[in-house]
Amino acid sequence: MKEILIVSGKGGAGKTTIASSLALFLEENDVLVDADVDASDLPILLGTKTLEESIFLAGVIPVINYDKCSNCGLCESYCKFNAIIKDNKNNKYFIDEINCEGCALCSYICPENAVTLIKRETGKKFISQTNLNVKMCHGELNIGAENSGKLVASVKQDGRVLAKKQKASIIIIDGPPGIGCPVIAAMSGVDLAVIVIEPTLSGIHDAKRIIKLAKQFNINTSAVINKYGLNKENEVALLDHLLKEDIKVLGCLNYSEDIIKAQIEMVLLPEYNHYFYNTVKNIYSNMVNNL
Amino acid sequence: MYKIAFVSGKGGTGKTTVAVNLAKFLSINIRVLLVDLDVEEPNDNIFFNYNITTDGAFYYRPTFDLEKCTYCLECSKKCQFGAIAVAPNFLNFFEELCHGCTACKYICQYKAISDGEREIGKINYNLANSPSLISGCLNYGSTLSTALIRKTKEYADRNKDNFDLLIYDCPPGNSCPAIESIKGVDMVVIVAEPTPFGFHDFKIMEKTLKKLDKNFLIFINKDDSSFPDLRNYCLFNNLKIIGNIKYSKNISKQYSKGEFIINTTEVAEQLYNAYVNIMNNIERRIERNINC
Repeated sequence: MKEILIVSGKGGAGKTTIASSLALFLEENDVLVDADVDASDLPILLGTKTLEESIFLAGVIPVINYDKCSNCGLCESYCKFNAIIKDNKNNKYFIDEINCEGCALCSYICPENAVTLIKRETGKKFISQTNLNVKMCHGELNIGAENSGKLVASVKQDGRVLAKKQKASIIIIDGPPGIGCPVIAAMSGVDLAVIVIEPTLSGIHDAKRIIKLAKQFNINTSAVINKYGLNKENEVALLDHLLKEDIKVLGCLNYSEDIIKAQIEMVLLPEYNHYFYNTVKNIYSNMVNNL
Repeated sequence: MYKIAFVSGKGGTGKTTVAVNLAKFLSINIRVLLVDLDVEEPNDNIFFNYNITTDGAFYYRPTFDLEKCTYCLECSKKCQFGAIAVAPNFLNFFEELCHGCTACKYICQYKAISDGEREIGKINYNLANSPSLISGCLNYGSTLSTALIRKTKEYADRNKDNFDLLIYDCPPGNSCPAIESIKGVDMVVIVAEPTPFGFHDFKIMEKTLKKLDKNFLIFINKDDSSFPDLRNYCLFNNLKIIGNIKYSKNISKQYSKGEFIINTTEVAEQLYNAYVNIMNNIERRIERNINC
C-alpha cells in the first residue's frame, strides 16, 4: 500500500483539481483522503454519501468554577495566549475559546482549584462513498477551532485503516496549503509527495519552500506543472530548478479556461475533454511508476 | 490609523494580488504599511523586490537542567502537547510539538526547567520605501505559524504611528493562523472567486467572521458571469461587494511575472472604489458606536 500526497505550498495552484482528476484512475478498493480540513473541497466535486460520521475530540478546554474562583487574576497573568479575559461588567474572568490553545496551565496554577479541564470538540470526521465508487476519508474543522494538524493526522489514519481493510494499493491524499502544522501532519510517512506548481513567481517561490520541507522529512518528491504556458521564462527556470533538485516532472497541464469551466459544470477534468484525459492518465501512470 | 485585513478561506483567490496592488496604489497619496502575514508562504516582496533587513523571531522553549531533574515525569504528564518524553535518566524534548505555554516551567517543583529561546522564523522589513513592508517568514519544519503571526503584528504595531493605513495580507484557511491575523483589525475584506470551490470556502469564512463578530466586506477576483451563485448569495444575504477584478489571462500573466496590475484604469478604479468603501464603512461604524 502506497500513500501519495498532493501539495503545493501556494493555495490555488490546483491541488484539488489534480487530486480529483487522478481519483478517476483509482481502483474501487483504493482510498481518497481530503487532508485540507479548513476548506475541504474534494467532496464538492466528487459528491459524497456519508457512510460513517464521528465527532473528533482533541485537547482540552478549561472551565472556571465560579463558586471556587476568588477572582485573583493569576490565570490571566500566566496565560501566554490572552485566552483569559476579565469581563468588567460582572467582574468575572472567562475563557476565550478561540484564543485558548488548551495548554491547561491555568488549571495547574489556580490556587483555588477552580479550573477544570474538559475534552474539546474540534471537528467532524467522515467516511464517504464518492460517485467514483472510491471511498473517501475527510474532515471538517469546527469554526475557529484549534488542532487542525491533529484532525489532519486523524483523518489520514482513518484512511490508512480503511485502505488496510480494503486491501488498497494506493491512497491519494489532497493536502492543505502552506508549510506549517497541517502540511507537516499530512506529509508525515507518505511514500510520495506530488508538488503541484504554477509557473508564477509566487508559485515557484512557494514550491521551493515545500520541496525544502519535504527534503527535511526525507520524503520522495515529484512534480506536476499546472497552468503550463502562462509564462515561458518562469517555466524554463522552474524546470531547471527541478532538474537540479532531482525532482521528476510527472506531467504538465496546459493553462486553459476549460479547467474553471469544468469545475463550474462540476465535471472531472479527464471527463471534460480528450486532452485532459490523456494528460492526467499519463501523469497517473508516471506517478505509479515513480513509487 | 486604520488596519484592514485581506482573507479568503480558499488559497489562490487573490489576497496577495489585491493587497499588494492596493498598497502600491494608495502609497502615492498616503503612508501605507503592508504586512505579509502569510508566514508559511510569504510572497509580497516578490512584487516589490525591496532590499530587506532581517530580524530573527524568537519564542519560548523550556531549558532543562538535568542536574536538578529527578525524572519524576510530572512535566511530561502535564504537557498537553506531548512535547516532553521522560523515562528514568532520560528526557527528550520535541521542539516542533511545543506551543510555548510555559506550563512545564511552573509544574517542575525541582526548578529544573527555565526560560529558553528558539528561532521560529524571520521578520523581514523595509520601512524606508513606500509602501513600507513587513513580512513574517516561518522556518522550515516549525509549526508555530500562529506565534510568528503574533510577533509580526507586534512588530508592525511598534511602527504603526508612522502610517495612515496598515494592510494585512493574511494566510489562507479558516483556522488558527487566519484567525490570529485578523485580531484587532478595523475591517476584514474577503477576496472571493466565483467558482464552486471558491464559493464553498467563502461561506466557511463568512461563518467564521460572523462567529468572531467581525465586520467584513467582499471583493470578487477572477470575476466572470459563468458562476453567478456567489454574487446571488451575497445579494440575498445582504453582504456588501465593494469591487471586482475581471478574469483575464493578461492579469494572470502579469501576476506570474510579479508585476503590478494598477496600470489598467479599470483595476485602479476598482481598487480606489474599494478603498473608499472600506473607509466609509469603518467610519460609519465608529460613528454609530459613539452615538450609542
